[in-house]
Amino acid sequence: MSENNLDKLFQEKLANFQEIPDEKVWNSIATSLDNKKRSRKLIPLWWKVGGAAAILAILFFAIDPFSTSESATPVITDVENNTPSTKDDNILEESSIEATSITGNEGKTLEENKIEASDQTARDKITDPLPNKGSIAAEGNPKQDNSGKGQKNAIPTHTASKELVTNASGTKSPDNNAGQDSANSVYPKPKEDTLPSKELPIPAEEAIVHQENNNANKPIEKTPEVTSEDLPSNKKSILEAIEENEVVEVKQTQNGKWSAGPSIAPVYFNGMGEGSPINSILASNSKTGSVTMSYGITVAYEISKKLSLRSGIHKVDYGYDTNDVSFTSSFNASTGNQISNIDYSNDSQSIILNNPNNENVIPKPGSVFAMDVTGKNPTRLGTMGQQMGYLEVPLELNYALLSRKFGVNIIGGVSSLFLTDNSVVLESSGQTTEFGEANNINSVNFSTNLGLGLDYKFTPKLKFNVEPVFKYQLNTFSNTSGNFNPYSLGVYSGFTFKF
Amino acid sequence: MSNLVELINNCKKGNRQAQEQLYRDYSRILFGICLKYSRNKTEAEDNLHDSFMTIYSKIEQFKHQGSFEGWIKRITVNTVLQKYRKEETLTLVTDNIEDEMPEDSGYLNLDLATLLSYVQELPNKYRLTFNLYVLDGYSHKEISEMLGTSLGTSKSNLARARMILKEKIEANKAGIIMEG
Repeated sequence: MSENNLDKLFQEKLANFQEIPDEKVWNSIATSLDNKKRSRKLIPLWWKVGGAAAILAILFFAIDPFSTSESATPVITDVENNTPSTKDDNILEESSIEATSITGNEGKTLEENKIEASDQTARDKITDPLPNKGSIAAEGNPKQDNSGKGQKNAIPTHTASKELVTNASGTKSPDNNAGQDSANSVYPKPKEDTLPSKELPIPAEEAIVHQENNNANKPIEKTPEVTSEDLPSNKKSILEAIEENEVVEVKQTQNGKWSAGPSIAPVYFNGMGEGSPINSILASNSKTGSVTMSYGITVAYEISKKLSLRSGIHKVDYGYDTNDVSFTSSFNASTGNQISNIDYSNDSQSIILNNPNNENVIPKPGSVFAMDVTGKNPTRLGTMGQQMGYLEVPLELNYALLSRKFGVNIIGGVSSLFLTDNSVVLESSGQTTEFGEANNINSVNFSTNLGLGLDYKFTPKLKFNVEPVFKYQLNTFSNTSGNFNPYSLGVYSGFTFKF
Repeated sequence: MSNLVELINNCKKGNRQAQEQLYRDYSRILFGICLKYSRNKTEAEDNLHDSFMTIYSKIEQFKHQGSFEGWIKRITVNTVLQKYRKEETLTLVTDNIEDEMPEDSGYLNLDLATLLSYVQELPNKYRLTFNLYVLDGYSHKEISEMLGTSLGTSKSNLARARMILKEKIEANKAGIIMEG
């Protein structure tokens, strides 16, 4: 028996084979559709949460809700008056604490919603296929059933046997059109009846029908390998005709929905507005942001082709310097002149900060007046550096604007930051003294994130990404003077592996 | 034709009646495909279910630019391929089977159910390749892309499929002769 005969045998009987499925298949589809409807309602929630996060990020940047109306804290003229004045500050700042704590809660509920939503979609996905399998598996022994029923069903539907007759006549006659006509008699497609065979350029829509009709005739036309490899023009047009997404479908399954990878970023941290989280004395001092490193792991789940949800864990250190800080060592420091926002370290109990603007009380070095009264001036000028280390857990939505070899994405979301390190140092003339720890840094705070992601796909499973992300911190400090609204700008780069 | 457009548009809106009508109109054709590409009826039903779920979810992307029947057939084939591709990877079959045997038109008397069961009993990749190449007219190049194999593997898978089918038909014929 030759290959051609074998192929012909199967083509004649099976090429246009049809059979009516059991009613239970539709029932299980209907059940799945019901489940899907329910889970579909959740998708807009994702969009809402993602959108809300992005809007929040923009709003906080534009409107700056944490700024109080007070401008730079009034200059304190007397060191003795320091205590009452900071009390006033505290009253003012209490309101801002309330504000920040409320937003903190909002941040939390947002996150809770997200987590609930993700749980539910996950559940729906898991339960989705179960009912079908259950109902189908209940059927019993598949093979016996099949051979018996296959035959049984073929007779009542009648189409299969009908086709056998028509196809047989089609293939026996060498004339292609005769075969086509007979095929068409089974699948009535009025327009294509008059079409000649392959050579003519065929519009996409008709091309597929044409191919279907040709199937019955194939064994006659085909000398096995050659005809199939040197594709006739209509075959290509079939591919072109089919929706792009459809073609991608097979590729999609190659790639899993989960991806993960390491990322590292130089992060610039600074505060917007004039103010100081340490003390009102430093509110008007200039601040210099510093560049530190952030590194961690990002995990992403692909919700749809364009949208993915990302999380992960990153270690990040933030820091900034307050310039032109004048400080001195004093015996009465520990008795009331210490800054309330700092828990002093043992070595720095005697250090007090001076107000550089107040020349009357604490003379600046070189001042004639000071030289006359106090002799050698003990005051030093330096910078005060505040460093904070965090573990950052972001929850972000990534929307793909372009996902080809090069990808462009918009990233929006929130981060929870858990404080791990906290220190304040004084630096003067090349020497560094550990000053203490700030006690007004919240152990958990949030940031709203907005960024742009660029990626390059080496393979479908491996890509390199660079993401400049702006993060506006929401409640870093519980007690600040002036408007010190911290933000960070990082360029996160790393590799992502799909699995 | 306008009825079909209307039906598709209603399906896009998620209208359940339209979805059911679509199922009634096309399930026969698609179930035929599923039966050929699957190992048995239960799996074919499972695949038909998955195919229709994909069709309903992707119907939004159908822009009436090609044959709808061709489109849903292709989705069905892809759905089945995806399922079996995940399942196993067969070892490379490198030997080419080339043999010519005298023609015997008596083979053509084999009934449809028997031939279908022979196809269904083929190992996954042989069955898929045989269906794609012989019954649905795809080229080896296309098949190798669809199944993620090489061109050579696709050819040898087809040769293997043909050989197994031939053996089964021979055995069937021998059985009939013995009985006779």
